[in-house]
Amino acid sequence: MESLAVSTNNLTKIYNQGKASEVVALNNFNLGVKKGEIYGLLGGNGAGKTTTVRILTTMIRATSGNAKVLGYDIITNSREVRQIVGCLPQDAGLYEEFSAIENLDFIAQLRGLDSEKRKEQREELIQLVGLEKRKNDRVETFSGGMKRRLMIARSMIGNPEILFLDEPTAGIDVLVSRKVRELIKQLAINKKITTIVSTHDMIFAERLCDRVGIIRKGKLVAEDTPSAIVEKYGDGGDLEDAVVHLIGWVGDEEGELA
Amino acid sequence: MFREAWIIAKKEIKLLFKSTRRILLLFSMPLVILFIFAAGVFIAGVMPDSMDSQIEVTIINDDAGFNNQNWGDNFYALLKSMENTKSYEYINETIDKLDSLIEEGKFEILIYIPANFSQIINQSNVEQPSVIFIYYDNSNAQNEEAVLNISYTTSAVNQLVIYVDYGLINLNRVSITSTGTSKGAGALIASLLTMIPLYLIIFLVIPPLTLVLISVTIEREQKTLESLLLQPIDRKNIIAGKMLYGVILVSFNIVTNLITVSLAVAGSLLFVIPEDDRNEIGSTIQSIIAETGFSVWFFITWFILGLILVSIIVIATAVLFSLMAKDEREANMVISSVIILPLLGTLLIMFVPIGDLPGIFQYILVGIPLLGYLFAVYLSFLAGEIPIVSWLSLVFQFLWIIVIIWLAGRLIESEGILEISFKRILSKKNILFFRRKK
Ligand SMILES: Nc1ncnc2c1ncn2[C@@H]1O[C@H](COP(=O)(O)OP(=O)(O)OP(=O)(O)O)[C@@H](O)[C@H]1O
Ligand SMILES: [Mg+2]
Repeated sequence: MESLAVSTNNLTKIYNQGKASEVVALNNFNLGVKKGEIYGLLGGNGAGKTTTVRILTTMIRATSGNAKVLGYDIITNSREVRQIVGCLPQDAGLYEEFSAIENLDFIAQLRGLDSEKRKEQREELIQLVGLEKRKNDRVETFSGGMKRRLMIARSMIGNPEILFLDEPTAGIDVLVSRKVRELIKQLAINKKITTIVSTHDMIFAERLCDRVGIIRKGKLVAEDTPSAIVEKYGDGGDLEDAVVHLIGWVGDEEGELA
Repeated sequence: MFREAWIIAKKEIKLLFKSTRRILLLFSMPLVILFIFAAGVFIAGVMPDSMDSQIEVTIINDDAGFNNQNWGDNFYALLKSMENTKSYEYINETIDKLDSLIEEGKFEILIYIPANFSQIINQSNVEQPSVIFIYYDNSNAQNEEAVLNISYTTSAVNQLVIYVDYGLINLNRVSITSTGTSKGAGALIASLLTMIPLYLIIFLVIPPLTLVLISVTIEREQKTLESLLLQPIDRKNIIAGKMLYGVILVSFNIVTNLITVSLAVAGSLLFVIPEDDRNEIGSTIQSIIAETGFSVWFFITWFILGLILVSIIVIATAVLFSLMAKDEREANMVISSVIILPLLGTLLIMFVPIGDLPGIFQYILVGIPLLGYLFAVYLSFLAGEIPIVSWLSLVFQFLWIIVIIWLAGRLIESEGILEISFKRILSKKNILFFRRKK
């Protein structure tokens, strides 16, 4: 148990419970992510990836079940969880009138970094995501991909021990995507940082993740190393074929075609 | 706690200075005030000076005298010789005209000295003082001033009485009752004075209100709210931070407005109003303060305390509503309704005689957030003191602050905060009012 960075126990999330618009987003979801591991969450639109990330980062509460992040209960120790977690939300934004530097600095202040540390970190992170030349420009003048890169940098402020990245590669080019991948790997190797990443980019997942979990209708339907998944479900193809097979899979009791 | 709130408030101030539109909003009100003053001074300069018009004082001296002394005559003589009152035009009438004069209201100031005036003064055993009645048209501020001056003269009479006749110390020997008679004009003046807090709310509070509202809705629109909530801070401190920002804005706004108003007043006193009038204004203010003495400062303290409470209510409401508003459009909706509210309150004051309502209604009215304070100010003006309802109003306003902040706290803790809008709140009242099931 101790080696698990994230563990969930029958996590269930029902939106609009008891109403006509009721949605079961997570259904007795069980996940175990090891320390230092890079774990990929794969699945179709509406499978429950973002819901999982939001519950584990204490943004919303599960309807039932519980979860621990580095030993901290997400309900009773939510503040501690936020202290050790860095997160790039799927649908995030930046203060458009602030410069890149100012955006990072504000979050660094909230994370309790002193001014020297803040300066050091923001320069380092700006460099990392390749925005040195634009660091003093207002974010409103950035392209979509540049904003996304800045948000990735923001999620790493304060040296979190666990990173949740919800679709980090959405809207960024292959070069940066590759850089981000290398960065996450570096962090895992050098600093033992655990990363949970949700993505629709199969190449990104295949090259980055130690293990991937495929979610379908709020349940984990398969979990293994990318190569093992390809072997088991890929039908001679690649990870994409395996995932397509899994999320379109007709086998559980609910049964209908996705 | 304070550190985090301060970081957030600091960020808001920084953001404020990044946008000319928002800066303009903050500075526009002092400019508007300056403009209004300039226009007012200009009009005052162009209009014929009403200050110089002669005041008519109708006097009915019915005093029959006592022991060869007629204190009514003495008083009349004093009026005609005292510095403050000798310039008035005195018209003598007889007692039989008294009722019709009062009924028809055909006077500016009417002094009635009853037949037993001297008699009561000279009967040392009589408990109640001897009375002079003054009726005046209180729709004219000049008359108010004149009545004050006439009242002073009675203290001179008092001293004469004491000195000449008895050497007794009894300051209550002569008393004066003054009654404003112009139909409802007292209420009119009171309601005009009630406009002061209304102006203050519109000028001082609306810009900060707007800015605080924007500061939260912008987080939702730019999708930074989630990143904010993801930080290791207590969610309630986000509320504290936005409140702090509002308080800073209001304080800043009060200071800039005070400066512009003082500049405008000083400017008009020095350059526009002729010196004679300046002195007259000065002595009028002095006499009013001297007459009411301590209670003016008492009132001002109460008034300012109320303004502070009301400002905090507005800020807290802004934070609460901004948490509910999905975007700037919904926020603007809130702003316009908040502006309309005090206007409605003033209309209510003008058309409903709340001073005459049964006590229970008064207590309910002064309990309304924000508006209750306007009503309390009005009731205080009517009463000429600060009645218990007015004090209670402040207590109510304070309680509202606690309730509003508590609601905002509940709201930001609620899990749907990232997607909340007014529509959702209405369909999900439990977000605000009921405890979450464990
Ligand atoms: N706030 C909400 N209210 C109601 N239903 C929601 C809400 N958020 C998500 N859902 C529903 O929950 C289910 C899971 O959504 P979630 O966002 O977790 O999917 P996802 O795996 O992240 O999908 P995507 O790949 O499109 O981002 C969906 O059916 C969605 O409609
Ligand atoms: Mg998602």
